[in-house]
Amino acid sequence: MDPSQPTASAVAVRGNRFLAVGSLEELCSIENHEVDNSFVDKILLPGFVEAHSHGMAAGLWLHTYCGFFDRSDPNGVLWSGCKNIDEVIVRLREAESSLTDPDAPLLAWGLDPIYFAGERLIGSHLDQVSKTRPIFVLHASAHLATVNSALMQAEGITSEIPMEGIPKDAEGNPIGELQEPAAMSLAGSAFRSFFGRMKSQEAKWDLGYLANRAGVTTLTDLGNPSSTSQTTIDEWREVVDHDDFPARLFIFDTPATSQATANTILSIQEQSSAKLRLGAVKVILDGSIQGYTARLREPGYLDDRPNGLWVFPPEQLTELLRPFHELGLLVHVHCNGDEAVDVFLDAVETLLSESPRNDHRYTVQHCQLTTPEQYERIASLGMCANLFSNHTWYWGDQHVASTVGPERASRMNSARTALDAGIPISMHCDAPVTPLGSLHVAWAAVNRQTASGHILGAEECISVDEALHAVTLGAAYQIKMDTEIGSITSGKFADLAILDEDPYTTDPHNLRDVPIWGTMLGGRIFPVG
Amino acid sequence: MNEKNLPLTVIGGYLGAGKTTLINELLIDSNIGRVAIIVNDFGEINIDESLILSHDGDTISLANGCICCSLVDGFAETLTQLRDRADQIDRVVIEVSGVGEPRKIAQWGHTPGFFLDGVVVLVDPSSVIERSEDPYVGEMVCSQIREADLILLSRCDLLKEQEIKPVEKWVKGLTEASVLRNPVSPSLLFGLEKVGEEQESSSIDHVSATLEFVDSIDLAALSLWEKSRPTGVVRVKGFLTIDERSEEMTEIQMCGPNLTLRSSLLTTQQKALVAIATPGTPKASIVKWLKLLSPAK
Repeated sequence: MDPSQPTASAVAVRGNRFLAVGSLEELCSIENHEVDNSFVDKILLPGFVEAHSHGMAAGLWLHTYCGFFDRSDPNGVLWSGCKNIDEVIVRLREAESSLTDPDAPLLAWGLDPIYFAGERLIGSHLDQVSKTRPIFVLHASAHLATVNSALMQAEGITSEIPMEGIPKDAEGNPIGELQEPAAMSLAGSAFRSFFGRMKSQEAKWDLGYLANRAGVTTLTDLGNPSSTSQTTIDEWREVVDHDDFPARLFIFDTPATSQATANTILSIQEQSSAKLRLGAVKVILDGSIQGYTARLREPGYLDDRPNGLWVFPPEQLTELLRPFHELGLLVHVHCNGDEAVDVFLDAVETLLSESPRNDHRYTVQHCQLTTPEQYERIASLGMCANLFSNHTWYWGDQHVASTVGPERASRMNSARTALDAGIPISMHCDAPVTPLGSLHVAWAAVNRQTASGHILGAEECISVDEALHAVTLGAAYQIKMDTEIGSITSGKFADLAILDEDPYTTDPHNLRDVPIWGTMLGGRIFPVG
Repeated sequence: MNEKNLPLTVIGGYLGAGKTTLINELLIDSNIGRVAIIVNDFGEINIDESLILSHDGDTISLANGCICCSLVDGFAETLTQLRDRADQIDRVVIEVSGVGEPRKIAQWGHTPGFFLDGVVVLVDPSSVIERSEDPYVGEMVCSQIREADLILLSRCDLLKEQEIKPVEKWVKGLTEASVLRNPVSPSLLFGLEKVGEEQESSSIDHVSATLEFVDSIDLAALSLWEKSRPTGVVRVKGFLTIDERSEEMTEIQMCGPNLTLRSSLLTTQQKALVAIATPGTPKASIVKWLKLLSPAK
C-alpha cells in the first residue's frame, strides 16, 4: 500500500517496526539479519484497520448466536445462520442442553426477524426450549428481546405492569416480547447478566481474537461514553497492553456535552500507548436506516413513516464541537441519513470559518445516503467519509423494498462517487452490527451484491486495490494513525495481515473468502489459533 | 412490610424550554421533599456549590437530602442504585434530553420499585410555534407535546397575557394534557396533597377537594367518569375498591388526562380521592365531579 513501492517480496523487521522493504537480495545487505522464510507462500498485506467498530463487538459471543447469517466466533467456530424460527429453537435447545447450572439463564443474541417473512419469535416458541430455565434472546436491532414464560414468571412480568412495549395476546397475557430498554430491563437478572458479561475482561480479550481471525491489527471502540473514566482506561489497558493481545485499539469518547469534557479528553491522550489510543471524539447525530430512525432529506422513507430521530440536537452540534475544534481533537460524527450529513457539514463549515484548522480529518461515519452534491461539499471542506459498505449485503434488499426504494438504495455507500470527488475514504463493519471482517467490507464495496444476489448500483463499485487501500491506509488516515500503521513502510509498526491467497489475483467475487493465516503485530506473529 | 414505590416524574421539552431552570428550582424546594434527579450530564445544571455535600463520580449529594445522578451507567443501573436507597429519597425526577422522547423514557417509571407519576413537558411560549415549523426539529417538538400528561408553559412571568394566550390555545390543539403556567405550585406538578388531609382553605396557588368513598366502584363507570374531568383539574389520587376485585385496594392516579390503576398491598388505607386543580377552579365543580363516582351517596 506504500505508493512508492506497492509490492515487494521481502520485508525486514527490527523490534516492533518495519526496517526495510524490498527484494530479499536488497534486504540481505542489512547487517546481522536473519532470513525467515515462514511466509514464502503467503501474501503479506498491511494489517487491516477497522475505523468503526465497538469495544463490545466480541462480548456478544459469550452468549448463544442465533442470527440469520453464518458467523464465526472469537474461537473460529463457524455458527450457521438460523433461517427460520424452527432453526432458532434447535440452536437454543443445543445451547440449553450444554448448560450445567440449572438456574443459569440461557442468553442469546443476533435474532433478526426482518429475514423471517413476517414470522415473529414469541415466548411460547422459547417455552419449547425450556419451561424452567429463563431464556433471554436479544434481537439484532438491540431494541427488543424475546423471553420465555419461565423468565416472565421469575421476574414477575405480568399483564399488571402498565409499561408500554410489552405486547399481549388476545387474553391479555404478555407474549414474551420486551420492546425498548425499559421493558427489556424487566428481564432482571438475565438482562443484567447479558450486558454485565459483555463488559467483562474476557469479552475484551475476545475482541483481540476476533480481530486476529479477520486480519485486523488495529480497531476502534467508536465511541465509549465513559472513556475518560480511569476505571475504564485501566480495564482496557490491562488487556490491550498485554503482550499477548493481538491488536491495537483506539477508543473514541462519546461525550454528552463538551463544556467540561474537551480538556479531559485531551488530557487522557497522555495515557495512550503504542497499542491503546485515547482522546478522540465520536458524536451520534441520528439513528439507523433499517430502524427507520435515520434523519432523511426529502422524500423521507418509502412508506409513510415519519422521519427519523435526532440523537443529538442539530442546532447544538456546532456548539458541542467548538471546544473540541479549538483543542484540535479528532472528531467523527455518525450520520446515517443525508439530512444528518447536512447538519454535520454546516457545523464544520461554521467552525472552519470561525477558526481555520488544517488537517482536521473530520469524518462522516456511515455516510450511507450521502448525495453527490454532499460529497462535493465534504471534499471542499477537507473532510473524510467512512462508508458502511456491508449494508448492501446485509440490508440492501430491504432498502430497495422498504426503507428508501431502488434509486436511493443504489447510491447508498457510494464509494465510487466519494473517490471521484477526491475524498479520503474508508469502509467499515460497525461490529457487532455486522461481523468484524475487512475483506468482507472490501468485497461489499467491490461487488455491491445483496443477500438475494442482486447488484445494487454497479456504477458505485470500486476496484480491489481501492477497497484494500480503504481498509488499511484509508482507515489509518481517518484515525490519524497513518504515520504509524496502514502500509508496509519502513519506520511504521510491523503490523501485517498474513493471507493464504493473493486478493489481487483472486476472483473479486471471492474476495471475502480469501483465507487469513494470521497477523503480525509489532513484529510478533499471531497465527489464527 | 410493604415495599415503598417511589414516584417517578419525567420532565421533557425541547432545548431552551426551561427544563434546567425548573430542575434547579426543584433541587432547593423544601416542599417537594428529597428528590433524586437523573440528568444526562452534570454540565447542564449549575448547582450552587454551597449546597453540595459531596460529589462522588456519578452522584452529587446536596445538604438538603436531594441527589443528582448522571446517566453514564444507563437507566437500568441508575434506577437499581436509587431503589437500593429508597428510604433516603421521596421521589425521582428524570430530565429528558432536548431531543429525547418523553413517553419512551417514562416507561422506566414502571420499573419495579417505582411508579410513573407523570410526564411533564415544558414549552417556551416565546419560541415554540416557530420551533414547531423548523424542518429539522418541528416534528419532534410537536410529538414531545403530544406525549405529555402536563404541559408547563415556562417564563409566563416575563410574558404578556396576549403573548401567552395564543400559544396556550395552540398547545391545547395538539394535546389533551393539562396546560399549566409557570411559576406553578409543586402540588400541581407532583400531586403533593395527601389524601384525606384537606386544607382548611384553598391555597392561593392551587385548589383541592377530597371525597371519601364507601362502596366499590364499577370499572366501566370509572372510565366514563375520567372523561368528564372539569377544566382545571390537574391531578387526582387516592385509594378505592373496584367491583371486580373488591377484596383489595386499588390505587388511583390521574395526571392530566391519564388515569392509572394499581392494585395496592395497603389494606388499612382509607377509601378516598383527592383532586388538585389550578387556582380559580370552583371547588364545588370538583366535588360535584368526584361525587359522580359515588352515585349511591
